[in-house]
Amino acid sequence: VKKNHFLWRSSARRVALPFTQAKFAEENEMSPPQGQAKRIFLDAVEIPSLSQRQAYLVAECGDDEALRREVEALLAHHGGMGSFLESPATALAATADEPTWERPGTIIGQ
Amino acid sequence: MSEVTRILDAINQGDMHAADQLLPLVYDELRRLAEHRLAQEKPGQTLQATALVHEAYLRLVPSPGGESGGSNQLWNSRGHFFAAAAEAMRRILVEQARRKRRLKHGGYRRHVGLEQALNVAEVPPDDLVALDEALGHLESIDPVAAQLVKLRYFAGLPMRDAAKALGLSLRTAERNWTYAKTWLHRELGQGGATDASAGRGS
Repeated sequence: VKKNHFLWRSSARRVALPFTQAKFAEENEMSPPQGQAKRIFLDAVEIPSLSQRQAYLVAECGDDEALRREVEALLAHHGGMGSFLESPATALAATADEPTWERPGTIIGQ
Repeated sequence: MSEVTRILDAINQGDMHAADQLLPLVYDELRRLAEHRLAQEKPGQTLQATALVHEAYLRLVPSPGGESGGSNQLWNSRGHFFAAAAEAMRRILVEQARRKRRLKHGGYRRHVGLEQALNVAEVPPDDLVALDEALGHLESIDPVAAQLVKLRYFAGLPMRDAAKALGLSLRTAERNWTYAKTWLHRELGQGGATDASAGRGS
């Protein structure tokens, strides 16, 4: 799996991973529990039939209750997410405040 | 050759120190562009970050004409540039949201130039700051998914471009996007600690 290097991924936040497993490689380098929940969640989302979905969860999670709760929580939020994050939040608005361009160091007229 | 082009070439040749030089340049250019564009807009008009980012790209990375680097290298460079731009936009918007929050709580407003003109039109400052904190948590468990959010949400890149910038297939990018949105929605919706992952120590 090809990966890009990213440069300012804040190193303090990165989690050192003791190992990687091939089945997580498709998604990326996640820690195993979250990587597992992610994979199961994403596969489950694509199963339209709720009963089949439930059967899939049972088969994948086995007796790992915490894993199943994690996946079920994700599925519940996926259903109620609406258009969350769908439009970029980065619309900037000009305001009626004083002119902003007459400041030292501002380049005028490009 | 522009300075940014030189840095992108250096990154493509494996000089990771060059990367440290990219973000401040892109950040400054985006702020400058935003300020300049906002000064020309009527009050209430909005400015799309996507447009800013693309304009910054055209200004900072002049087309070499022949595009001799081949599309892989070109996309590598674009990927690095857009990642820097997304991070810069994130910082600009979150800094602005934090400042607005302080002004609101401080009970007074004063003219602070761009700081005041740069409004996040759609998202209340508290929400943006909370989202950014949640994004920091996501980054610690899933850096690629977090990076995708920065590209899509803060730089406004279409999925196809964001996937290319990250070197992902469209399908993998779509899956990461679904996961990132859902994960963030849960993280924000619950308000408190997410015990689901904390309980998985063994």
